[in-house]
Amino acid sequence: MVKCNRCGKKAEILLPYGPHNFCRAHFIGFFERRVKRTISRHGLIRRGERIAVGLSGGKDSSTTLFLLNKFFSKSNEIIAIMLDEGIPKYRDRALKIAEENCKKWKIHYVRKSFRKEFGITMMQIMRKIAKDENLGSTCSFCGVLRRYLLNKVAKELKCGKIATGHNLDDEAQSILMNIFDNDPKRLARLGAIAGIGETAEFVPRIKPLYETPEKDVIAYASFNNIKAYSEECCPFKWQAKRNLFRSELDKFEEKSPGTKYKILSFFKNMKPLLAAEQKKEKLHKCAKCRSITSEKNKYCMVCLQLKKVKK
Amino acid sequence: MEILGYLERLCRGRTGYEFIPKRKNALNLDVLANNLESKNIVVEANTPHLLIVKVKGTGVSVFASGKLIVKDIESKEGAEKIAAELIKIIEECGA
Repeated sequence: MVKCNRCGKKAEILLPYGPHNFCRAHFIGFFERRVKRTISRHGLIRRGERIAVGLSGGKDSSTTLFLLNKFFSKSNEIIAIMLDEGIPKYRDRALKIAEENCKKWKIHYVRKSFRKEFGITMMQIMRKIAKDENLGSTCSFCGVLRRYLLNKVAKELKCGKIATGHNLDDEAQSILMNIFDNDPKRLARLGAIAGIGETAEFVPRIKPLYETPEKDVIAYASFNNIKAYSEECCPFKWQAKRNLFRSELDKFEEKSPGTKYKILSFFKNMKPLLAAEQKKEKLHKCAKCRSITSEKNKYCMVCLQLKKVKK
Repeated sequence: MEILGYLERLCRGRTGYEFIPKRKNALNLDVLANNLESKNIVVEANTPHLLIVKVKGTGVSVFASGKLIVKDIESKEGAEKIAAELIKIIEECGA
């Protein structure tokens, strides 16, 4: 029998990257201390600030909402923002669970849809892409539109930060993807606080689970009975380039535990050097919607993407 | 090879395989975890709703509903072999 490192009881979780073996209570304590440390070390949340949480209904964002509500509900107002991209039998089911959680935890929430905001759903976009592959990948549309809408709603709600459920696995994958793409500008935007620098146009996006492995999030959610949608992944997931990085990174982690943390540490060491790259980045105003963009084109990414599919 | 009583499909990320029991199940995960450990299968997490196990280096999530997800595996046959091994233990121990 493997024993808990702290109390000697039967271990219920083994974390090879430590290695740590914990019983349920000591794992929960360890997990929560690590998230609190991420928040304080990176200055993610200021006292009194209104915090938006991008809530998809999946385990990561549900756990983020649960934790922020647990830690900050007395000092900060927490609001959940749910986005319905218009993927039937997937997002509608996930958001139903998200709404149930918000009601259970007494958290105010707002729900917006791509259909109302952009006049098009992801299913419709996918059909256009199926006819013309040159339009790009489904995920690139979804990501651009989601980030835009999340920012817009958070700004309207006067939120100081937008918390997302990105975990260590997501971050390590993103770091490698940007290195493989030779894209130092995008790489520079990663981190516990993401984005293209401080402007009034953008609500900073924070990642409280940035230093927490995905497997730990799954276990924490289960130990705490956090209901999350896990029946199906997104029907377009197979198209994401990220899958390859996820799969290969998991293999590295299996052979050499701690690999994901080492990638993150490498990025943290590089980040000050990359900051110079970030400062060089000039911001422009989109000729159509007037929002700030780092794109050199006349239009921002949202307008460019919508123009492609609304022809 | 089809596993009797289970619906098999490639997961949506196309990086693993799902095995869903055709009949509703409610596994006793504690009993199952003890049995897996006695057969030298590493149980990385034993939680109220799922077990995360390692079978010959491959990660598998075993849900209380009986659903299995064999992760990061390209070979369908390889996934079926792992699932069959786990299903045999589930049936034998009556979890």
